[in-house]
Amino acid sequence: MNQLEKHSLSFLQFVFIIAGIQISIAVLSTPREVSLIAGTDGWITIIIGWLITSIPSFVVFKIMQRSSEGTILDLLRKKLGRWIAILFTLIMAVYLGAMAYIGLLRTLLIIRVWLLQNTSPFVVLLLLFIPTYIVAREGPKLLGRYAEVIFYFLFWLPLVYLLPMKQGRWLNLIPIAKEGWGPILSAVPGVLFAYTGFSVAFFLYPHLTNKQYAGVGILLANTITMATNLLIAIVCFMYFSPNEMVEINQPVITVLKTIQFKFVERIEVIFISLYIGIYSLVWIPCLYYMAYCLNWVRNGSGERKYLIGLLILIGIGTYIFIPTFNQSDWLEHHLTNFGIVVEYILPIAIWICLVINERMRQEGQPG
Amino acid sequence: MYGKSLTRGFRKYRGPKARIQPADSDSLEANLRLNQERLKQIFSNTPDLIHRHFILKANQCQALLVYLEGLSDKNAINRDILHPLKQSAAEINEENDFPATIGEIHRVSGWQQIERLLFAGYSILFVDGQSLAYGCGTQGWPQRAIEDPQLETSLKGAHQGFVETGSANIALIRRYIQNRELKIKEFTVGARSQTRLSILYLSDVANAHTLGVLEDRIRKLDVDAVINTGELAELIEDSPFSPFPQLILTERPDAASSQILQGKFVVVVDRSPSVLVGPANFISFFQSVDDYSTRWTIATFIRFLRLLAFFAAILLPAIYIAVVSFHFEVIPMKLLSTIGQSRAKVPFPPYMEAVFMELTLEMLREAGVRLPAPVGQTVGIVGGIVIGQAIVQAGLISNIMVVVVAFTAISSFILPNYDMGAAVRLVRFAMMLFASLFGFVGIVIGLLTLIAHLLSLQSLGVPYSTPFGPVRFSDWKDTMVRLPLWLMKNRPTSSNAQQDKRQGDTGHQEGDKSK
Repeated sequence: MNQLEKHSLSFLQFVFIIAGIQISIAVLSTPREVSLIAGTDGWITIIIGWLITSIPSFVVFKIMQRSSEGTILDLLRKKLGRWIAILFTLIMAVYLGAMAYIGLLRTLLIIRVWLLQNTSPFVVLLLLFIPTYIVAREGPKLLGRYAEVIFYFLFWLPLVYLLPMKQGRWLNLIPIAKEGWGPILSAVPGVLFAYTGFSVAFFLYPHLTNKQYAGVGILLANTITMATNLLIAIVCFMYFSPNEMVEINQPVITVLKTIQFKFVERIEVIFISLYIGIYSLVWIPCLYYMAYCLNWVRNGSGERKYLIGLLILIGIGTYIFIPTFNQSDWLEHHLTNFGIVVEYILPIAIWICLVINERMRQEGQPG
Repeated sequence: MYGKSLTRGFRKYRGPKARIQPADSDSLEANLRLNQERLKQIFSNTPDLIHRHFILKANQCQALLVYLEGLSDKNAINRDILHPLKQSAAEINEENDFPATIGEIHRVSGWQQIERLLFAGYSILFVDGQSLAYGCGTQGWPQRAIEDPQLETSLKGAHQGFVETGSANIALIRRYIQNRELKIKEFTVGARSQTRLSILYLSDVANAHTLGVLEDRIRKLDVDAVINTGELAELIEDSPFSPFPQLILTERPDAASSQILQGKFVVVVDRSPSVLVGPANFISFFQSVDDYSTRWTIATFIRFLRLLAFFAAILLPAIYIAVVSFHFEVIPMKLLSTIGQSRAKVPFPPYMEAVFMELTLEMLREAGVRLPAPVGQTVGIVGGIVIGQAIVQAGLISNIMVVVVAFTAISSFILPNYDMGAAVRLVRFAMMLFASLFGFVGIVIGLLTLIAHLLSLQSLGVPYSTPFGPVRFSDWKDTMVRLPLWLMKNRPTSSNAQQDKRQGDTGHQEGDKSK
C-alpha cells in the first residue's frame, strides 16, 4: 500500500476538512466585520463573497486535475521547476502557519475572556496540544476522520441560533441596500477571509478517492460555510439594532446569552466550550500542512519532527507574549490581505503559468 | 514512525527459546534399556510418569508403556492398549496395523516429539529392538462440564459457555457453523509450554489481508506460555498503551459464531475459557447477543441506553466538578441553592469529594468481584454505609455527590462488555482531573482527545472507530440503532469481507406484502 492509498479520503471527509477550516477561522468575527462596513446589508456581502470564491475554487480544481499522483508541490516541481515550487511551498507554509496561529490565538483569547479568567492561556494551550498532536501526527487520513466526526457531533451548534431568531425583528434587514451598493461591495474583501482555507484542496486532492468530484466538493464546502455564516449573520442582524451590532465586541456569542432553559442558565458557557471543537478544525490541518510543506522543502523523512518543532515554537511564543484582542484583530486584518493574495490571486497566476507552459511545450514539439 | 517501533519492541518478548537445552541426540536407540535410561534422564523428578513393563506376546520381547498420570485416560489405556497388546497375535512393527483399539496412533522416532506427546496426554509404547516408539491418543485430563457463561450472561441466548479445552471450544463453534468453508489454522506458541492457538474463520468471507496480519503477529510471539486469552490479546493488539480493548474476549460460542459469520476471526486458545475475536470496532463492545433475539425496537432503545450510559459514566462526575467549582452560573438559582445547602457542611473541595467517592466505589466493586458469595453480601451492606445516607449525615460528602456516584456506577455496569466498562471507569478519572483544572474547557478538550484517540486506534490494522470515522452509513443499521435483521442484507463493511452479501430476501420483503 502506498502513501496515497493508505491516506485515502472520502468525498465527505474532503468537504468537511475544507469547510471546517473555513467556518472555524471566521465564524465568530464575520457578522461584525461585514456590519462595520455594510451594516445590516452584510448578508448580501456574504453571498457575493461566496460567488467570488467559486472562481478560485474552480481554478484550484483545474490545476489539481493535472496531478493525481502528488500534491501541488510535486506538480509545480515537475512543471515549473524546483525553485518556483520551493518559493510557493514557503509562502504556503507561512500562510498556513499564520492561519493556525490565529485560530489558536482566537481560541485562547475567547477562553480567557469568557470561561477561565484566572487560568494562564499557556496552560490551556498545552492542553489543546494533546488532541492536536494525536490527530496531526497521523496525517490526512486522521484529519479527514476527525473533521467528519466533529462535524457530525457539532453540526447542530449553528442551528441553536434559530432560537434567538424568535425575538429578532425582520425589520432590521429592510430596506435592502439602504445605503446603496457601495458599502456592500466595499465590504467584500473583508468577507473573503471567511472563505479562506479552500486552498488546502491543493494538498488533499491526491488523497481523494473520487477525484472527479473534487470541484463539486470545494463548492459544497464553500456553500456550507456560506450557509452557516449567513444564518448566524442574519440572526445577529435581526437581534441587535444596527448600532449595537458595531458596539458589541462579540455579537455572535452575546446573542446566545438570550437563550435560557429551565434547567440551564448562561448556556453560552457550554456553547463556547463546544466551539473549541469547531475551532480545532482550523489549527490541526493547518499545522499539519505547514509541517508537510517544511518537510517537503527539506526532502525530509517525516512531518512529525516538524510538527513537534512547530508546537514547541508556538508554545514558547505564547509563553513569552500573548497578543490582546485588538492586536489579534490587527493580525487578522493583515492575514485577510495575505489570504486574498495566496488563495485568490496565486491559484489563478499558477493556472495561467501552467497553461502557458503547456502551450509552449506543445509548440516546441514538432507537430 | 516511532509509535510503531515502540509497539514492536513491546510485543517482542526476548527469549526463553534459547534457555531450553536441546537433547544431545534426538533419535531413539534400538535398545529398550538404553531408551529407558534416557527417559529417566529426561524426566527426572517426575513421579507422575507411569512406567509399565510387559512382554509382548507376538514379538516375544520386552515392551514399555509410559504415560503421565492424570493427563491420560486410564480406562482407555487399560482397555484399549494393554488388553489388546497382551492378547494380540499380530507382530508389532513399522508396517503392520497397530493392534490397539485407539483412533490416533503416531509412529515417532525423536525424543522431542515423544516429550511433546507425553505432555499432551499421549501414552508411548517402546518395543525392545525397535528404534521407533508408538504414541497412542489417550488424552484425558480433568475437565469442567459445559456451563452457563459467568461473565456474559444472557436472557435468551444459548446457555453453553466455552470451557478450558480448545478442541471442545472448536466443536462448540462448529455446531453453529456447519460449513466446510470454516477453516482452522493452528499454531503452537510458547517455548516452555506449548499452547495451541487456532484461528477460525470463513475462508470465502474473511479478509485475507487481516488474516495475514493476525498470523504474522502470532508467529512473532516468543513467550514461555500463553496462559490466558487476555494475555494473547495484550501481546498481539495494535496499541498497547490505549485504555480501550481492541479485541473482543468472549466466553459465548453463539457470539463468537455470529462474529465469524460477519467475516471476523476467532482465536481459540487451548486451556482458556474465552476466545479472542478480531478485528473489533468500538461499537461492537456495545452489542450483546440478546439484542438480536429481542424485538428490534426494544433492542434499539437498549442500544441508546448503553450509549447514553457510556457518556454519563465518563462525563457525569466531571460535569459535577466543573459546574460546582467553575461554572456555577450555568445552573439555575434554585438548583444552585440546593447544591449549596447540601455542600455547606462538606469540608472538601468538589474534586476531592468526587475523587474520594469514585475511588470508594471502585474499591467496593473490586472487593466484591473476588469474594466468595457469602462474604460478598457483607461488602454490599458495608458499601451502603459508605455510599449512602450515613456518609452524608456525617457531613463528609454532599447528597448530590452520592447521587452522582450511584448514577455513574449504574451507567458503567450497563455496558455489556466488561473490558469496555473498565476502560470507561479509567477514562472517567482523567476527565475528572481535566474538569477540576479547567472546568468545561477541560471536559471539551478531554472529549476531543478521546475522539482523536479512538479515531487513531486500529484493530488488526482495521480502523477501530468505524462506522463513525471513517463514516459508513450502511453499517449504521447495527450501531446506535438495531434495525430489523431482514434489512441487514450485507455484512458490515468494517470487517472488510470478501463476500458482502449476508442474506437474500428474507422474511418481510416487498415480495411478501403482495400475498
